[in-house]
Amino acid sequence: MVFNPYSLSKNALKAYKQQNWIYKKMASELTSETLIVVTSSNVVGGPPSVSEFIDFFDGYIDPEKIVILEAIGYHDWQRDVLPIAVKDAKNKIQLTSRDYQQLIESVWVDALFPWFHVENHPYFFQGGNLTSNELGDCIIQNSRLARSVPDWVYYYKYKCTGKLIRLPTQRNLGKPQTAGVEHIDERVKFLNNTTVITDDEDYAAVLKQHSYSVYIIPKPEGPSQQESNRTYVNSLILNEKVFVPIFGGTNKEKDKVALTAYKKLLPGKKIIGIYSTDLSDYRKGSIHCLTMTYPRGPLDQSEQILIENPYGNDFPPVATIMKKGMAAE
Amino acid sequence: MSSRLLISTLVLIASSLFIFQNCQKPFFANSEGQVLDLKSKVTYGLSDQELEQKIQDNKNIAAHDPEIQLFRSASNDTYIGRPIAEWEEAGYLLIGGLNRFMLDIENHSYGV
Repeated sequence: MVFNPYSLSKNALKAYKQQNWIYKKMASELTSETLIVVTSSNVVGGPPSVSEFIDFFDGYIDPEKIVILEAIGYHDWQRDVLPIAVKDAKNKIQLTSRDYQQLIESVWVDALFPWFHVENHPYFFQGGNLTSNELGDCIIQNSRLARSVPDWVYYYKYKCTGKLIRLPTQRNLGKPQTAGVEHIDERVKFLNNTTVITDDEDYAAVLKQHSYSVYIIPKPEGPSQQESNRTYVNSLILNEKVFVPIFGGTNKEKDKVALTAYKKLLPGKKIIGIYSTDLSDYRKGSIHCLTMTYPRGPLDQSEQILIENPYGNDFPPVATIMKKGMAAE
Repeated sequence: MSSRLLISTLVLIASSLFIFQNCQKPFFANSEGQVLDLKSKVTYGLSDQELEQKIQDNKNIAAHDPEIQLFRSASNDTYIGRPIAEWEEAGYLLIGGLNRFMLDIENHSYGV
């Protein structure tokens, strides 16, 4: 039995369409970065062809800047399925990976990023529930899943060698309307080593006790009083650009306040508002959840690589990597 | 009449649960039809009681694991690395889920 996305509701389809638009908008803003498109080899209809990807991004990004990774598994929340980049004691970059229900992750990651050392652990961890600074301070929402991950995993594997701050979840604070998926990237974000933004006053009070400069930004109005997954915190800092979710409509004024706050707190960076209403309302996530960033490695120089399945040749390959520029050939 | 309706409803619920369960599983099978169960080690979907048990198991592991003992004995200023912050230089932006369906909805309305 295979998941059939074509049977989704009208609102869910709108959210997927908005996701496509967000990808194109972000691609059009890339300068020195390479866009890596992770696609699935085992969803309905198989993976799209290279020319289909070129058509999809036509006019938004130079095909020379695209690398396509065709991998087993299906998941679009890259923040939660991909490993986290950390630096080891010698300042060398490594990736920390964990078991996940929808990908053979450690195998997949080893195959796709062979120039990084990959550290694994067996605990259920989602990258959306971690924000950190260069001092090794880490903040998480202490959800039931996060509680099952012991401190030593954060310390040794994710290199949270500063403070590990486990904030109570929104639900535990009696705020089910902003419980979301209980990830910290819905509520709190480090902007530099000493400054955090949040849209929750209880979190702000705790973080001030830890001597951070805390800046409170507004919460967007949601579609209902019961629950809202809209947030300005789920932004992505990508070198000199900052992509911030905005919502328009009755939130126009709040959108402005949030964008102004980012501008003030991150001087010199270009702040780009991206509409995220459908994505936030119907898929419960936004820009930060959808994406992942990594330091540069030699992927650009890779040839097309087929990664065989470790379970044997009878199984499909784990991944196909098409080198940068191959899409243009 | 009402018992037929009840039975139909139960059958429908059971079928939906079966479909849901199977939809959640990755579907890797070799030519002989052997299916790999990749869900065996995950915590997602556990009941509260099972999760609490897992937390307890983790604590028991921590009590005996030499690596964790090392962590506990390390002094606070031992520097063993740090996370890479989001504002540090990035070379790649990764996006996912761009499958055939996602490209298709660009060209078709599907009710949108």
